[in-house]
Amino acid sequence: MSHPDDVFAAFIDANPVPDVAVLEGGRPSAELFLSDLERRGTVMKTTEGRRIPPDFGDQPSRRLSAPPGRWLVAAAAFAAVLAVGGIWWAVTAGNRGPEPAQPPPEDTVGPEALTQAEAWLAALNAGDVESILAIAGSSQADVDDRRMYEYHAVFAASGRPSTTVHGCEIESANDRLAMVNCRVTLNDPVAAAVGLGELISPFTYFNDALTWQPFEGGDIGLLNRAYAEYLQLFRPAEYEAACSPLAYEPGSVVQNGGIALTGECAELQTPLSDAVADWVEQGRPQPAGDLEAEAVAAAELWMERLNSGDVEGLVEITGPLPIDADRHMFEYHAVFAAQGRPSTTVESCAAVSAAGSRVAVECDVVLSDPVAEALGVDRLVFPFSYLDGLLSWQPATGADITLINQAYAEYLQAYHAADYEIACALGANELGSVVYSRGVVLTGACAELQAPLSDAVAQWIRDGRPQPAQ
Amino acid sequence: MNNSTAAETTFKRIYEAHYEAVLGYCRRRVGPTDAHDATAEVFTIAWRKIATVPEGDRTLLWLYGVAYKVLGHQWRSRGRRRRLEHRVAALAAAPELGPDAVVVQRAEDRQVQSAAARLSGPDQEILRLAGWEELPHDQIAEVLDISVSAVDQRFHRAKKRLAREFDRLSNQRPPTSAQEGGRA
Repeated sequence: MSHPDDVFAAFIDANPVPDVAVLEGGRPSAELFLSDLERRGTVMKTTEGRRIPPDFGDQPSRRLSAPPGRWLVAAAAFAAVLAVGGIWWAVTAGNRGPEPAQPPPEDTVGPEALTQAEAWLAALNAGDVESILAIAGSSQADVDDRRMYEYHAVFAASGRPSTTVHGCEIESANDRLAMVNCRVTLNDPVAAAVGLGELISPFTYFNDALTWQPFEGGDIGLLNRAYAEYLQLFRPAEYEAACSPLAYEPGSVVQNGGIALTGECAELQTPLSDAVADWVEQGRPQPAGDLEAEAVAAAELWMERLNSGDVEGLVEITGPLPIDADRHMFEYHAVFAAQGRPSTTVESCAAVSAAGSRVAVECDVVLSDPVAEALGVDRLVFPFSYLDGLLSWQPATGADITLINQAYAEYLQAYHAADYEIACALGANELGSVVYSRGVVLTGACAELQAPLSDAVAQWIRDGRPQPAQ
Repeated sequence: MNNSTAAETTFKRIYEAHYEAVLGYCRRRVGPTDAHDATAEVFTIAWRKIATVPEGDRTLLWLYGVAYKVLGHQWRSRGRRRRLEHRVAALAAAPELGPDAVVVQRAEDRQVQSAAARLSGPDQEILRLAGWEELPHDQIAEVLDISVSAVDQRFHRAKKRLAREFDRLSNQRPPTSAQEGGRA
């Protein structure tokens, strides 16, 4: 097993919830879930979206049944379901009913919410952090929020404010809660490069406090992931220091798509916006150094598939297009793999040269076949050539691997002549359709004959290759 | 059976069959409270799109795909939304939510999870889907809406990157007294 496999195995072991059955206590019934959604829908429709249901969230203790030890989990889960369902309903109800949205009446907080949302976006685009905080009050004044506003302030200071606002409107409102939607486009060229068009910037106004909600109408994560990917590839040290969420104390930053939304990160991003946009539009090419890593990874994958008997996987990444002989040879190795004796143990693979977009890779391997060990030819080098995402394999070097085939051929001819003629002799196989080496064809059928005899052949070699008694 | 009833029946079947799996998926990626929120959101979306939810083995993959998007969206908003939720919940004297459960982890678990956290989002997701949800590559491709060969390549690279970050973290760990040369 390779080191990455070992680490991945440790990752599997680190599964925080290996058994989902232990989570069962937190599930409200489907009927309850649906009836809650439906009930909320009815309430919202009959009151034209003006009232928060007075019994919001007070039902689970009467309807859920769970062991006493699970009450807290069940109650917490249901409260969360109600809260999310309710907010989701409140936010989207205006778009779901068949009837058109009602104009907000005078006694709602809608107009105030609208004014504040517009002022909030204006402050964001001006980079005026203090004004944003003054508008948001205590609802969004934590350290992570402040850092996020500073992030946008850096973009504003660079002459490229975060958004262009095309208008705001009240979606729904009552005497305490209002939902406001503003249509915006992001001014970052990366946004256009990743396909983000006009977005909705929603606000919730509740008990005199305005809360900015995540953008809707597009996955803002695409934008941040593009930055994160670019920075990890081309500016890794600066990314680690300024933009990686791990560079900050947990909970001290808002993060999205691998980007910590802080002023420090924005300082790194702003001068690179155009470069990142170009890079996205060019198909996100890998840096030159990464091509070598990619070639090595491809070679390691090829070896992994050879050793696991993944014939189709080998065919997929082998180029030029594999011929029948290649497929037969892959099947030959697959038989050994299926019998618990993968052909090789890979010690390491490394890029040995690169010319243009072609990379040469060599893998040092140890053959697992005891016949190879008996012959002293078990340590080999597998050379590969990687070009345009396809891997060409070359004959192994470092030892004369054909000696193995020759030994098998001699042994089989001496002790299993009839089987040899059927399975391993060139015989009926058309020359060119199979790989033929020193008396054996490398096919699945021949491997079926060879694999169970490997230890016997190895011992026969160590015994001086005695001939059978006549 | 009218359309509404048929939709409800379908939804209930999906909900009953897959709630734990979706909650497990979410719980592996975020804390307990957020996981319950996200799961509720996934099934709310499933109800809204019940006519387009695929059937059979593909249902869970579809739900995972939705959960992946919900969590990506939620990650940024959770702090703000939680505060709003608390305010709304307080109106109705809902049960007080306890603090997120403390997960006691082994040092090795912490290290490998820290290493994973240094990877890009897509790399992390492929490793989790393969290692924690135990999905084969063709199903991961369906969840993430990418080709199987892309999954193969990305998975292989993600594993290597994980090992690299793991090693990097190992090298950053403060030396033990034994490693310091046995000073008394």
